[in-house]
Amino acid sequence: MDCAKSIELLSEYSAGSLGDDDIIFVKTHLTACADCDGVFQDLKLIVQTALAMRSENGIAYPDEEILWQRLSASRIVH
Amino acid sequence: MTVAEVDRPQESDFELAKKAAAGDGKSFEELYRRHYRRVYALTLRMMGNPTEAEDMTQDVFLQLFNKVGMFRGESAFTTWLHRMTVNQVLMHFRKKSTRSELLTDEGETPIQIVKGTENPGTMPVIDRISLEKALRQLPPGYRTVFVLHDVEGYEHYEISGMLGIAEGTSKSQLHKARLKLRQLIREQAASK
Repeated sequence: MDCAKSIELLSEYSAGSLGDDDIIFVKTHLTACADCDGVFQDLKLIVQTALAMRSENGIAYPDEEILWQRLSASRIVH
Repeated sequence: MTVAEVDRPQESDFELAKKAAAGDGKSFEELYRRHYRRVYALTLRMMGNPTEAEDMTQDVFLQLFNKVGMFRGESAFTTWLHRMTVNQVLMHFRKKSTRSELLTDEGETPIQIVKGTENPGTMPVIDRISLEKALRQLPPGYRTVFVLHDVEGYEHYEISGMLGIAEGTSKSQLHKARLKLRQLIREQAASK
């Protein structure tokens, strides 16, 4: 029961948008429950990794010229 | 490149936009070359499919061609184009499916909270590659909110406005998306 409630609150806990009672509840539970703490650590890592994805590196871009030609052709059509 | 070309300062996006709006094709082409990567990267993250992202990039620039005159320089051009891209993708999603299909988890696989962190050695690696792969498998409604919030940095009130949903729904979808991603990453690791 505590685990389900704790997991439901993890994103809000991480965002700092919970009320005081809920913060204490989650914090206490994570200290006592390694499983839920593991879920919390994973979610934090997912958020950190997502932030790094904002960079445009590591993407296979379509060919600039081919895309431009397609665009030019459709501009004529439209 | 001539000395004169090197010495000439690069025109701002705003200047190019004004010229493009007046019908200068070269200025529009320059805007495309400066920004197509940014637009493609965003559409790819939101749509999860390179072919669809390429088509959408083309649609965004067609939209830009028609609306570039509306850019008044009140914000950065990149911010304005970013918003236009997001709106174009969302419009595409709305055409493809009903709002309820896009924004609820009806019919989606329930999220299993996989525990078992007792042995850290069995934890899958969460890195960019595994996350991108999982993101492609995420239901569109979850993916939209996750990309807008966690990748693109929009706040819940902004997402609420863009998608026409309550802020609480945006928060709830985001949390479910993160849990689902975690589950997918674990499943990927288990199948290796």
